Amino acid sequence: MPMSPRDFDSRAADAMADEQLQANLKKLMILLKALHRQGTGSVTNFDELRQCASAVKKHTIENLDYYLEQFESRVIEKGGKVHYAQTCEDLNVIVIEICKRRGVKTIVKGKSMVSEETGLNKALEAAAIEVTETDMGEYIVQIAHERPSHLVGPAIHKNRKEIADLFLKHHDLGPRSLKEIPEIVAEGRRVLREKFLRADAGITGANVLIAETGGVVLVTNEGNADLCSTIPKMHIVVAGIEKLVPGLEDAGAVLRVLARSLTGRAMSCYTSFLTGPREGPQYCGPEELHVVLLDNHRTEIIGSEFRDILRCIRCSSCMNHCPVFGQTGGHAYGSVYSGPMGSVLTPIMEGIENAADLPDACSSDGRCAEVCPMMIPLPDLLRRLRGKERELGISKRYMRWGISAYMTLARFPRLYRTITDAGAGALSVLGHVNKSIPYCRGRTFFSLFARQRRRSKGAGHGYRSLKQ
Amino acid sequence: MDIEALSNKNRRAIFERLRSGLKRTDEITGSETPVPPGPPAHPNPEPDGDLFPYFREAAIRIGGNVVQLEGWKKIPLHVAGILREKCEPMKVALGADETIRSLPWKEAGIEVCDDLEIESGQAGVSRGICAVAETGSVVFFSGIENPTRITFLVKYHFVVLSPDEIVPYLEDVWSILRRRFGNGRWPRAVNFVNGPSATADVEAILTVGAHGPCYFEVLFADRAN
Ligand code: SF4
Repeated sequence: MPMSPRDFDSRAADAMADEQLQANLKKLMILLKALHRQGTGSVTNFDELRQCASAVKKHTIENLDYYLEQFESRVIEKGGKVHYAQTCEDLNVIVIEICKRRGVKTIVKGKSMVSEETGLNKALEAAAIEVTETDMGEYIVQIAHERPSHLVGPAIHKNRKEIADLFLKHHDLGPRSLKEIPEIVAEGRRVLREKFLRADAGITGANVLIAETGGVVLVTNEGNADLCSTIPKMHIVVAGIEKLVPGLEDAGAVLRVLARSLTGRAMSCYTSFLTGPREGPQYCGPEELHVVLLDNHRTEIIGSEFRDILRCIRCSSCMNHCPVFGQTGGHAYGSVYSGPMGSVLTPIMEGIENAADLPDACSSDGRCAEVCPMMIPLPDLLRRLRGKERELGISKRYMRWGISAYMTLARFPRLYRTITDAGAGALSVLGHVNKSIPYCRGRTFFSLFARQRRRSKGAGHGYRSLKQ
Repeated sequence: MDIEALSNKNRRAIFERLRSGLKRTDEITGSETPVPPGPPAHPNPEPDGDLFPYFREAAIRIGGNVVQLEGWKKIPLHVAGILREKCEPMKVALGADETIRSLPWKEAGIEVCDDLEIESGQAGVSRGICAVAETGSVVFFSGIENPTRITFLVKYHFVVLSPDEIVPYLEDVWSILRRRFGNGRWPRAVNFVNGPSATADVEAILTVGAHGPCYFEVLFADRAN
């Protein structure tokens, strides 16, 4: 199904009607929120750690030209190659040509959002190169010909029965039981192990790039990215230019908040620091290392009021705490990146007129900014995008009218109060008649506050008396 | 397809846009090298005194096993016991590290093989550089002594360390490597391993044994014994 960020509303409605998706999504969100609480609560100074990590990224972005050059020369010194792609097509063309030169026919791939951004798999397949995703969740959505529904839980919209059926259909392994989750995972392991051992090349993303060492940092829980970068003869890294940090210690600052935000642990199962291809008598590791760096509008973002979003380390915390994402899941966004960070990035990368719904899919509760380990002011960025939509006259008519009506009404406080009181009263009556409408007390906060204040006149501060 | 020319053209355009986005007037020269923010803060509470209990707690919390043995010579017998208990073949993959190879494997009834001969369901033993108390990680670096293949291809992974090889923080690992390799050629891969491999991709339920080892055990023993 072709996806576009244009029809958010209708896809969101479909997602909310999909009971299985709702149940699975709820389960995943509960788990990820609990892990976030556990990870950030296991240290007493998480805020200090976030400040350090975000200062590192801020500094790097402000000096990205310097660090990019340093990174490039270190990779070359260590025997690797660096390529630059301005657009998604450039990246795909470069990767395909690298593969063709070495006669690569089969590729194992670790999870990479940049490759999703560029549609690399499709391009490789069109060039007759077989590519297999090796992250369990990514592999499941790949053989189902679907798109990932969550940054860290790509196949979360499927239940075990559907996955077992997919495996039975795709793997020619004879009659077997796939009722239990460990059986499913063990089969994935077995099938993919063969692919690792036979692949001509491995492609991975990068969680961090280190300028000081020309290093690439890969973080996984499954160990699949490590197999992609260790077993085949060639390793191709595809990454956005914003992934850089100055040195090893700075990478540590970022890693400290990444795993704690995402997995609840101090560190994910595997964190690997890789530099250059194999050398001398080592007989494992790739003979060739290529790093393909993608711009795709990042250099424009740097000069814009949205620069802060480049600190994003794709930890998924903002979406896991977003009330809108929690109801709709990732597919509704129709774009590679979803949730609050996706609602900022997609309009910038794909054009605001093509993704005008996304910045509106926000309740402005601010939770995303509170949990973001990189302290990105997501609600502010979304508000700025909504402002741009209004300026361009592309925001929805009902939004424009609604906001204009509100602005007019807010200028006349008495009228505002009368109308909101009447609205609250009407909701309360409706709530009594139709039980599917959430219960409403029938009074606005403003009127309750004023009443309390009147009652306790002389008894002290209004707020305190309200609490009593 | 001349991807070198394409890449060079892209490089020029990317740097140009970067510099204009960052409002640079000139290229940064050596004298204006940017200074990154100071050393990062450590997570609190900070470990003090004996690091072993800190490491042990962190490693066990993430599904690893931590065992103390009296001396390195006891390692083969211990590994044999576990393999027998798990009904797995009595065979381990080892790298070229002599300190591990020279242990009494044969006497413990264990056959030794190279990392290139790893079969599915097999065990492997490696020597780590150090363990990190902050995170519960064990750190390896690549090379023929301890090939990275063992770390990721075996089903049961045993790591050998001395009790004095636990460091408090991530940053201490870089100090060890800098002391060892200086400004020269660093190992191709430095791997931090935290427990067995796992996935939560099926119905958000954590399942151990994704692509890497299903079982991970850190063996602390005194080398002298
Ligand atoms: S915006 Fe912040 S919370 Fe969201 S994915 Fe990026 S770093 Fe994580």
